[in-house]
Amino acid sequence: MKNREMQDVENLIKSIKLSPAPEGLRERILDRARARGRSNAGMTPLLWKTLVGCAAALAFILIADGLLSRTQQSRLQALLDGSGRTESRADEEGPLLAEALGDPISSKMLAREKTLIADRTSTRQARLGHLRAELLGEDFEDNENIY
Amino acid sequence: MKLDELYDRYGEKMYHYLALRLGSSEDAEDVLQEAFCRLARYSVRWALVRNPKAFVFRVLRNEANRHLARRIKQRTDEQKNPGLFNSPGSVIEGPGENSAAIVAKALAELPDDQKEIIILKIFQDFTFKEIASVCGLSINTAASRYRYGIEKLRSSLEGKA
Repeated sequence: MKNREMQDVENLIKSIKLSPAPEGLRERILDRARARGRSNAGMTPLLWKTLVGCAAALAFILIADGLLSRTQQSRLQALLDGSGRTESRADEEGPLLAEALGDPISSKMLAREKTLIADRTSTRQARLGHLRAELLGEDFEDNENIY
Repeated sequence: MKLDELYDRYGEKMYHYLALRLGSSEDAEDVLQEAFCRLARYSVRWALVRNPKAFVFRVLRNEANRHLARRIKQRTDEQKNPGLFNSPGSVIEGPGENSAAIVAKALAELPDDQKEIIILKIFQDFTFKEIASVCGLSINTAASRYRYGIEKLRSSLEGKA
């Protein structure tokens, strides 16, 4: 199509006279837009997104913190939990000791060794108990002699 | 920019763009209302907008597209499709049988992507660069759609003559 023909068609289109905007359109549009703008002024979409993001981050932190504390607590518990091993340890170490000494040990001597091991273990238990009480914030008398 | 100032600058042009594109003054008013509410809600920082006219028309175009999509869905739901666009009679001045009315009818029958560009170019005095920015096209695509639209309009008018 030649430029002149295009120009003719453009002129024809320009000959279309559009009806003016209805009366009072300006006021109607602006009043409603202001009213809706006021009602939504507090929460723009960006603010909503930020709010949702913060809530999700907070929830994640709380859950992660809970999980980590539980893991820590169980590790601490495992560290401090020595009960139930006293007898078995004495029983385990007795024959080893007898073997190491080479000679068969008399039952009296073996019983004495067992008692010694049991005493050592119970002292250690008491120390651990004190440490646990301190860590868990339990009351513990300052002048109490644990040794 | 305040809403009053925005309306005074572009309100009338926006209304005419919508009226021509949608073919109904009622729909044009509704969509213009939605566009202004959107602009008010986002409280745009106008200082950051390089070309306010193109920006405003882009918002308006998106709103018009949403309206057309709703209308298509409505028509599909009603199981009848007598044509997406209304007749332009309600948005142009003068009797329905004059040459301007015939041209307006031929314009209304153009494919929407071509019609939109012709409206922006001829009635809103947009450059092809601005049209490309409003419609999210390349400048060459905008220019070629305009040319195809004018050609189609011409052949349509010749057929009617």
